[in-house]
Amino acid sequence: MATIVRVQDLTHLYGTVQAVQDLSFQVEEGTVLGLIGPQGTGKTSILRILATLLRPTAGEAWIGEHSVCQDPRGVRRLIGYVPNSFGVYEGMTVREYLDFFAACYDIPRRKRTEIVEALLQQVNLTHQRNERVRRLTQEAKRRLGLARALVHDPDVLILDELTSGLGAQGRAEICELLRSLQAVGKTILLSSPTLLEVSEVCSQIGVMAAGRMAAWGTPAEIEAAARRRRETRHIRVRLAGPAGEAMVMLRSMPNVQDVTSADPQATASPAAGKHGAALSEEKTSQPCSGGRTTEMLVTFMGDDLEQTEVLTRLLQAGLPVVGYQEVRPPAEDVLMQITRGNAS
Amino acid sequence: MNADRPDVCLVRRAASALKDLGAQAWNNPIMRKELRGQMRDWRIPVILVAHLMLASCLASLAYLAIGRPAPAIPDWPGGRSARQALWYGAYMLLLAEVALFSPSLTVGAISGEREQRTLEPVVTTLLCTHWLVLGKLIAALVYIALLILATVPVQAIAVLLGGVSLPEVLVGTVILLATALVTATMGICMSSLTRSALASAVWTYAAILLVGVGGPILALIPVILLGLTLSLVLERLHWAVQALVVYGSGVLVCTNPFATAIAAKVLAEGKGSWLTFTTLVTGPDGVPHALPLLSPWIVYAVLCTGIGATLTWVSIRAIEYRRG
Repeated sequence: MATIVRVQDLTHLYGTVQAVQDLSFQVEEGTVLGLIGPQGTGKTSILRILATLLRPTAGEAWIGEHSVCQDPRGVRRLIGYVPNSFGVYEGMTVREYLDFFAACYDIPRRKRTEIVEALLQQVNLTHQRNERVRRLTQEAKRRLGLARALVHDPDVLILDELTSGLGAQGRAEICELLRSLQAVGKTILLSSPTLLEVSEVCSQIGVMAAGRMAAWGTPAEIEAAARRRRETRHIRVRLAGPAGEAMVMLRSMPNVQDVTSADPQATASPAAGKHGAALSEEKTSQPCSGGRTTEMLVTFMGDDLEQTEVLTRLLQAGLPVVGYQEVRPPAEDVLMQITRGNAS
Repeated sequence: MNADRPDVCLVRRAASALKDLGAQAWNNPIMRKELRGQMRDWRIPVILVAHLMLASCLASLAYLAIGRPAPAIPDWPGGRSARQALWYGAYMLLLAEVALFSPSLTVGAISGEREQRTLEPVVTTLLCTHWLVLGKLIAALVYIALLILATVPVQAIAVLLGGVSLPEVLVGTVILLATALVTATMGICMSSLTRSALASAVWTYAAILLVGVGGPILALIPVILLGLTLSLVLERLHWAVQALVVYGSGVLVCTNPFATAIAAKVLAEGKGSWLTFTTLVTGPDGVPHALPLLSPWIVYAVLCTGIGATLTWVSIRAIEYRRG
C-alpha cells in the first residue's frame, strides 16, 4: 500500500506553548487512523495543519504528493475536513447546503444534483433533503457535515472529534458510516479524547501526549503495549479445592504483591505471606462436580512472560487450577496510563 | 487572415478572459448563497419598504412644493427653488442612509462566519479567498444597488418637474454607488481583521464617522487657518505652489461624500461642466497658467474605487494569513 499522509518533524507553537513537538508518522492508503489523547495534547493542531488551516512552525506534511505548506490547494483537492463543533448555515435546506459546498469544489451544476442525492442516501438524510438545516438534530448535523466533506470524493477524510458528544446510537451510526467509507478505500484520520469512541473503527491508533506520539500501532498493539508497561496486574485464579496451599506458594513468589481469597482456611493460615493477609470480601465460591471451588485474586507485578510463570508454578505444584484469567482494566485506564507516563 | 493579427488575438484573448471572469462571478457560490439568504431574511424587505416609504414621503413633499410659488432660498448656491432644496435634502438623507446601511451588510461577513464556525469548512474547499471576499461584497452591493434603484421614481419626478437635471441625478447616483462601495469594503475589511462581528461593527462605524463627520470638523480649523494665510500670500507664490494648493484642497474635499456632492454641484453651475474644467493661477511674474481640473465626483469615484480595491486586497490577505 502506498503512503498517502506523511508528517515529518512537525512542530507547532502557539506563542510559547508547544502544541506539537517534532512529530513524524506515515499513514497508508485505506487506513483509519485514530489520534487519541486528552484535550490539549495536539490532536486538533495536527489535523488543522493537515487541513491547511494552520501553518506549522517547523517541519512539513504531505497529503499524497502535495505539501501542506507549498501546495495547499492541491491538498484541499484530496481532503475532506470536518472540524470539531463546526457550524452550519442554518437557513439553508439540507440539499442546498450540500449543493453549495459542491459548487465550492467547482463541480458542474448537472453533476451536483446527482452527487448530492447519492450523498444524502449514503448518510441517510434523503427524507430530510428539503428540511432547513436548523431543524436537524445534532447527530444529523454531524452526518450532514460528513456528507459535506465527501462532496468532491476526497481520498483522505480528516475528522476532528466527529463522534464526541453523540449518544451511543449516533456514535454507532457514524462508526458504521466510517466503516463503509473504509471499505471503499478512503483513508480516514480521526481524533477523539477517548479510546472507546474510535477503537472499534480504527485500524491504526496514535496516542498523543504533550504534543508527541506516545504510542503507535493497531488497537490490539496499543493495548498490549500498555499492558507491557503496566506495573501491576490482577489475576483471578480458580481452584477445585481449598486455597491455603496455593496462597502460601504464591506469596513466596517475588513478583506477587498480594493474594486474597474468601476461603476461611486460607485466611486463617499462619503463613500469611509477605504482605500480610489483608483479605477482601470475597469473590465467588461455587460448588463444582468434585466439591467446592475457591477463587483467589492475585496482585502481581511484571510483564506477560512473568505472568505465565505464576500459572506454571501452580501446575507444577499439582494444584487443581480450573480457571486462570487476567482481570483487564477498562480501555480508558490503558490510555490514561500511556498518556500520563509520557506527559511526566 | 484578420484573425491571425496579434492585436486581434489579444482582443479575443482579453474578451475570453473577461467572459470567464464574468462566468466565475456569476457562478460564485458565496454570492448566490448570500443573495439567497438576503431574500429569505425578513429584515431585508422591511428595510426596503421603510426606505420606499421615506422616498414616497419626500416625493409627496416635492409634489406639494410645486403646487405653490417656489420661494427663493438666498443662501443656497445660485438661489434655487424650494423643490430643488428638497431634492438635495432627500439626496443627502439617501447618501447618509447608504453610508450607514451598506457596512451593516458586510461587518459580519467574515467575522460572523468565524463566530458561527462556518468559515473553516468553506476555506478548506477549492474556493479561492478572493472569490470568497468578492462574493460577499458583490452580494452586499447588489442589495444597495436595489435600494438606490428603488429611489428612481422619486428622482424621475424631480427631473420631470424640472427641479434637477439628468446629469445631476446620474452624478448623484455615482456618488451613492462609490460611497456604498467604500463603506461596504470597509466593513468587510474590518470583518476579516477582527474576531467578532461586534468588534468589526464598532471599528467600521468609528472609521465611517471619523471620515464622514469627524474628518471635516477636524480639518476645518487648519483649513481655515491655512486658507486665511494663503489667501494673503497666494498670489505672491510660484504658480506651481498655487497649483499644489488647489489640487490638495480639491482632493481633501473629495474625501467626503457630502462635500463632494456639494462641490460638484457648485462647480458645475459655476463652470458649466460636470466633467472637466480649468482654473487660472497667476504667479508673481503675472503670467496666467491654466490648471486642468476634474469634477470632484470623478475624483471621489476614483478615490473610492482605489480605497475599495485596497481594502478588498487587505481582506483577502487577512483571510489567507489566517488560513495558514
